[in-house]
Amino acid sequence: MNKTFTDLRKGLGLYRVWFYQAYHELTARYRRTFMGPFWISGGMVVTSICLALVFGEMMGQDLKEVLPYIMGGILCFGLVSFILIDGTEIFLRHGGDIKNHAYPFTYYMLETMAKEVFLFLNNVVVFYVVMVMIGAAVVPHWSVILGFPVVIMTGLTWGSVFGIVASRFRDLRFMLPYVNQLLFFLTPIFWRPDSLRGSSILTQVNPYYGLLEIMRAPLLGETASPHMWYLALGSMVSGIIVWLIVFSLFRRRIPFWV
Amino acid sequence: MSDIVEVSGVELSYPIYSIRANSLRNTLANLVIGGKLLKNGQDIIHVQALHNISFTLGEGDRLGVMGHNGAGKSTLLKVIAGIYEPDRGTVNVKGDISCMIDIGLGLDAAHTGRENIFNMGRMRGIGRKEIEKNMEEIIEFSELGAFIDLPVQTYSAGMRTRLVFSVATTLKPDVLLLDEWIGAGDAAFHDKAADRMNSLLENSRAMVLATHSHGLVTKVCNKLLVLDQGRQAYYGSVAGYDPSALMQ
Repeated sequence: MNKTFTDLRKGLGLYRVWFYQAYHELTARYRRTFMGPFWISGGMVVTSICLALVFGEMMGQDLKEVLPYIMGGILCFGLVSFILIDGTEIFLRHGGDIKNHAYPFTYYMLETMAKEVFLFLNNVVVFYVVMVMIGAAVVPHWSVILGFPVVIMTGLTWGSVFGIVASRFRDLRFMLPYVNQLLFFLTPIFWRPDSLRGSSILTQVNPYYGLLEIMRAPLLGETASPHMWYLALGSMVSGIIVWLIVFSLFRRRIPFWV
Repeated sequence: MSDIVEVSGVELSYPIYSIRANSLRNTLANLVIGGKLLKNGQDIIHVQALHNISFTLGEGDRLGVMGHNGAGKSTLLKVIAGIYEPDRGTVNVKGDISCMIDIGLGLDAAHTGRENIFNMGRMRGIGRKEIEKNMEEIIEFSELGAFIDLPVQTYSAGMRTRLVFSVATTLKPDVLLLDEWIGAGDAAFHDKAADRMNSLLENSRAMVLATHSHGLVTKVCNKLLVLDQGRQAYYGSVAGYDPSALMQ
């Protein structure tokens, strides 16, 4: 347990390295493209417009009403997806470095998360540009500054737990992103929870919904219900506990697994 | 004299996973069927890589580590570097370690030589200011000239080696870990590289060199550790070892 905290302290101490490294890797990928990282945001915009057209029509809602909800949902889902998509790859993708360099393992967690946060901020800009364009921009509720760190902490902890397990059991590398894709449909992202008959486990015990809603609701100028906060905080606290156990037990095995 | 590197009673075994052991399906099947399914096949093999290794290095000690392929030389370096944590025993190192097992850390072929110098330096813990201070010297030493502002993917293999070597040897570490002696480039650069390595060696407080060459060990080391299948077959002064023993 002590070594876990030493690792974490050293990892945080390398903030300069992972901050730049994350930025570097992102910009390198889009080198010599005209749109740069806006390619990813472009995908977010196009997907949400398509979904908004279909579901707005189905539910008889105005685009101006349904698009912010759906685009906000896809925007925030991107950050929540860290848990099952990028998290799974944290250690596997850096296998070569892990085997040859004595970086603290938390370094890889922080670098991967930093990359995700940069992408998210990039998407936030695009989100607001589109909102202004359709005349639906609202001032975010202040609670967004609470929701954001909760989602990041949950991603870091649960994400690296899955990262460790997936480097040991390689099937998970392919299974977890698939589960994430299923959660995209099972979570109220492009459909409204009140269109379900009665309460459902999809909205009552779905941690993804809690994490999503504590960011999306404030972005749309509303507040998330206490139940969403319980779900999100529950995910974060359980994540911290599970991470402390799993990371302490298996940290030293990671170089042999990746 | 205070010890800079202290390794005592280090044991390390590492698991090697077969495809079957890595698969979730088989592990689950194993749980359900009570572990009988895979009992006949060895699915996780534990290799005892290091067995009860102890040595200390003081100020100015140069340790050569010799042994056959797979004797545990690189593993021992990785344990000292802190990449692997030993199962038992302790490793204490005072001061900065520069581990030259993979000197290409941080090299990205899409970036220019200059950007790579910053990147590689940062990943080795050298701050931007210090790199800027050393930038001209690194460029001059690498003999890359105008190429330094071109992407590394346009470099020849020799140019790439020179760039990596120049950056990697800019650090002034307390403890230097080498997996084989590092040389670089064509004949003219080779001498320069050798000089640079010697000065790096002189400036470090302790060094561990894993190598196959007994001649090299007698030239640069004062202590010798011989590994045989992870065990310490010999530890002491270089002069006290008969190299023909390793051949048997």
